[in-house]
Amino acid sequence: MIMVELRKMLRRRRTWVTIALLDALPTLVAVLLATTNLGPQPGTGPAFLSAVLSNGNLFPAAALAIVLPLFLPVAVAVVAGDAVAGEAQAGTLRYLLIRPVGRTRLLVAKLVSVVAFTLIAVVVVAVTAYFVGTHLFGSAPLPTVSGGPTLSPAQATLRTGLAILYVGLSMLGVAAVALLLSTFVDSPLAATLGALAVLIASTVLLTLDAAHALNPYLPTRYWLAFVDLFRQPILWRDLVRGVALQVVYVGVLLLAAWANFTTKDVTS
Amino acid sequence: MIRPYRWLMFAVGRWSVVMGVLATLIALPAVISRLPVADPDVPMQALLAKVQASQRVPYSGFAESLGTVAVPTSRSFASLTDLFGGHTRMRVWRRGPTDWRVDTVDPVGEHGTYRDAAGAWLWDFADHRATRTTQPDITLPVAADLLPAELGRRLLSEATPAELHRLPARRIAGRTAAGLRLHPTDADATIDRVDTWIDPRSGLPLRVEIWAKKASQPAFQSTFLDLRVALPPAGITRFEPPVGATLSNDNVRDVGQVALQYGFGGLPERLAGLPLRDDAPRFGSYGHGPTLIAAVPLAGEGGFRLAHRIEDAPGVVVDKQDGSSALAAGPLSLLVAPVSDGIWLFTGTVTVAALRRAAAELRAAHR
Repeated sequence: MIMVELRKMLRRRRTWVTIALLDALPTLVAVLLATTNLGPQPGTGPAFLSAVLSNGNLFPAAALAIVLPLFLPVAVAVVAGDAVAGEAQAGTLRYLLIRPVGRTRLLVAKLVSVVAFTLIAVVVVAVTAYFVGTHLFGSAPLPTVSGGPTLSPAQATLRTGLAILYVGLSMLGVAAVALLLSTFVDSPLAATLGALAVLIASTVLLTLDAAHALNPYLPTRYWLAFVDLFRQPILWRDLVRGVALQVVYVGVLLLAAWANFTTKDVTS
Repeated sequence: MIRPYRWLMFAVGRWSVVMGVLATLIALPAVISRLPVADPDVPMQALLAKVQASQRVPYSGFAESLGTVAVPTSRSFASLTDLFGGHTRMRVWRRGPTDWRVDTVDPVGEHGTYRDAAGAWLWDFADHRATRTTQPDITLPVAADLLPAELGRRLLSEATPAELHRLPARRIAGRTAAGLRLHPTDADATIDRVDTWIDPRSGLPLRVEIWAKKASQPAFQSTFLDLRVALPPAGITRFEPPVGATLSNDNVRDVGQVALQYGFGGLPERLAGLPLRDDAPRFGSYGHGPTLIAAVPLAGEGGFRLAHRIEDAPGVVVDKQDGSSALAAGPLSLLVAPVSDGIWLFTGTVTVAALRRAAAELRAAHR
């Protein structure tokens, strides 16, 4: 079942168009930076972007920071929101469940497919950014946010790899919200917009001092913690909390999705 | 279509599991925070002595501070505006009084202070700039001063057991912390109380809350979220400027250092009833414990910009008789007033009326 869903996701033209569009934004930013030589002022713009002009090796991290706040979650919400609701809208969900396939297994297969999409999208963005960045801005040893000596190639590769994994993992909460909503409605658009509404609410609450007590529980709270991988020494505190928070969100929301999907009347 | 009874029970059972897990997860932090904490059996005097002797205790950790004091925005005061009016996250490695590192971390950058015996390196990631200063102690308050261990020790350094009483213990950074409350006794003090929770083993303050009079929330609080009481590795506090960074030397970073260059003139032994502090080097600071006044001549362009900023700030009260402008920002009061042939800034945790008295006394002393 999982392989069927993975193959379906990989063969869809929409999957690759989405990833290409995701890739296009940081690439466009890199081209504009390289042609105008006008970087953002230090301390402004996405993380690492102001330092990219002098070191293309930083561009994978900058590219992740560019797509992380909006484009990546939108892409993940679109794919996850379509997972069950898309089948219902197309009228194929009923026929899918006639096969000797448990609903729980189908849900897990859908989740694995969304996770795979997320990881592929993040890896493609980072790898493309590496080639674009080093080609346009040149290559130099990777600095740390804390100053001091640059990272060795092995350290730089390891930390960038961990950042890619962390950003991918950060998207699982979005995927889980969209997947849960996808089991409630027959419209993928409604599920996607619902997930995005949750994200926007979380982002707004993060900016309010009055909501400070809620911050540790907001799904977007630790998204930017991948920057902590580039401090010296690595600041693990938020990274660990970010992973734990996503695991809790995924666990609870999938449990709710399972409770709903396995007990609802499927009529479409 | 009516659902069969068993199907309904099936659904109820599954949703009950979901609700149970959700309720447990939501309640867990509240339940843990309300677990009773046994009060450490340390006499108050011994606890105070441990705090006052904790300057050489090595530690590392992660702390955050939250301030609600609206200091007027100014280039000269920029650091204070952020520190006292916002949320600051710091990680620290402290090997000794002149061997430490404090990083102020924000989501996409970092400011680091690396202290050594001869001075300090200041690192700014956003500007990719490393600055060397040989006068790291003569400055306005910086993030390192607001770590709970440093702030708590400073506030309790002049306290006597008679000014203190115990608070219930709390669990902070995974440790049981004994609580002490300090009530300033000065009539002009704007601080109502300073609550400090202390690790009874090391004497390190773990959490500090500063409350203004008649306030419903602390004006400023600083707390450790993680703490390790052990000597950090030597290399972690040393700084090597990265390749390609902009390097500079700077001993005149803020209004306090500018004032020091211009000199303070004759300072009276007391201002507004508070004694001149013997902090080295001789700085225009008066008072004791949390009740303080700083009197600083506003020299140079930065000083005049700061004076204008305070004069234009919302809520400022201008006295046309003596030409002074006063502002109260929570427990912090500011007064810009002419003294002799210059302009001075008076600021501190006393009332505006006390600052006006201080300005008048300084004028009289300079005549």
